[in-house]
Amino acid sequence: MTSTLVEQARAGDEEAFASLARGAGDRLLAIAYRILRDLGLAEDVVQQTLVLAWRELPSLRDVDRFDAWLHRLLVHACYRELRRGRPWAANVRALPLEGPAAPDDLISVVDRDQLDRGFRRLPPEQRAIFVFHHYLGLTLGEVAEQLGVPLGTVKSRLHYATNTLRAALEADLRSPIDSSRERLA
Amino acid sequence: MSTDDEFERISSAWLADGPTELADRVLDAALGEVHLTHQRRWIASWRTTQMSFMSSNMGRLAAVVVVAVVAIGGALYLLGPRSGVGAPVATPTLPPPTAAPSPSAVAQSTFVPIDTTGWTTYTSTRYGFSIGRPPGWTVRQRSDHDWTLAADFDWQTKASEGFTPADTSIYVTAWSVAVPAGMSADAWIQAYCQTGATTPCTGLQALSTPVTMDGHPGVLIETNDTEAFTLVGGRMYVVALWEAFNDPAGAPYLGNDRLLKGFVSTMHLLPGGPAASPTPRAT
Repeated sequence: MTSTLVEQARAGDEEAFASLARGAGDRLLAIAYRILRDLGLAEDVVQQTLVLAWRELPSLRDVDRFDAWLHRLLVHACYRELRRGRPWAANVRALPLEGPAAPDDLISVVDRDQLDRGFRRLPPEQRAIFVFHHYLGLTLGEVAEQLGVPLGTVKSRLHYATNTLRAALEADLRSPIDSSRERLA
Repeated sequence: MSTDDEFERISSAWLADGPTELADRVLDAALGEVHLTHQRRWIASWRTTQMSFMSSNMGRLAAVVVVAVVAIGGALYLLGPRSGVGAPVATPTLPPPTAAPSPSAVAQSTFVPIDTTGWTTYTSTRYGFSIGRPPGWTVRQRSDHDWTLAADFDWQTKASEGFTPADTSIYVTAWSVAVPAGMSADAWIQAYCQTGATTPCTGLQALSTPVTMDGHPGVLIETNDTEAFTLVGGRMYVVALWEAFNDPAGAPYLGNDRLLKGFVSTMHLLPGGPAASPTPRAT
């Protein structure tokens, strides 16, 4: 079914492309948000990706690879967005006053904050691999195939990303005094 | 952080938290943009794919257009300065069939400039030029910022001065941008082409033909789109037609490259360039 829609869209059928876009939109937003950590930017990137996909669709040779191709367009759009170096001022997160709600019962506010900070220090490529592996649940081989990078590179980037995030989480185990000194330094 | 399992649990929970649904307004905006965007028909390598291209419906239609260009162009040529109005018309002799002649060669051998008499002039103070548009075409300004390579390489149509006919079958845009000091026109064009492409951008030189923009030399490049570039005073002036040179949309104008050359021929650069420095992109 999807392959038929892709073929039709590739031939210029806007309705077919709209069906594909509706089917992929939620997934694209979820991925983009998790890479960018900003809803507004994620929406911009999804919009860019869908238009770019429409425009470039005739160059897609294997219609069965549409999803992977779309993911790659999305990730590259995320890279570009991150490399524009926009300030993150609009990304202030309001913390809940009434205590955690699901899924916060699985993760403390402090852990979330530390992961947010650690993740933003990651290069775009490491972010994407971390999200594809841990959020989409793809194997490393599948991540390599979807993003078009060697398996060794995926392993290496995931290793560095994991270390950075673990270090960020471990930072909250330090004493408040140490943390204050660090901030003042 | 004591164990891998614990890290896995925390990071998975953290990733799971967040939006998972695309707002309808975003999807609608994207599909609205899609409606205004023509698909790229990858023809930079048309010489290697022309057999399959010509076997498609689009190919057949394009072939009809090319034949029409040859026939009408030939007729206009024969009716040119040597033939007065009402003079006997010699029957145009079409060249004997050859093995898929290059469309560029066809266009060059029979090229008759488009008549821009009656075109309406539009002045872009922000980009520092005036340019004509055919009767019935409208201006579409859709940007909130001035064009830059960094921000708009995949959104060429967004921050430009845009022009469309009533049926919106063709979209022509024009803009200018400051070129980094010391950067050549060729280098900028290569960067421009490559930055937004998902496939290697090669062979531009072979696809280029000379063009003149307000007396300044430039190039017209026919790839997925048809675009003219001229570097003057540290600014690159670009006029783009977002169709392949052989896309049937340009048939009423006897070809997209002919139409684009018409736009380029009406372009005049404003003394002093743009009226103001480019405004930063809204964030």
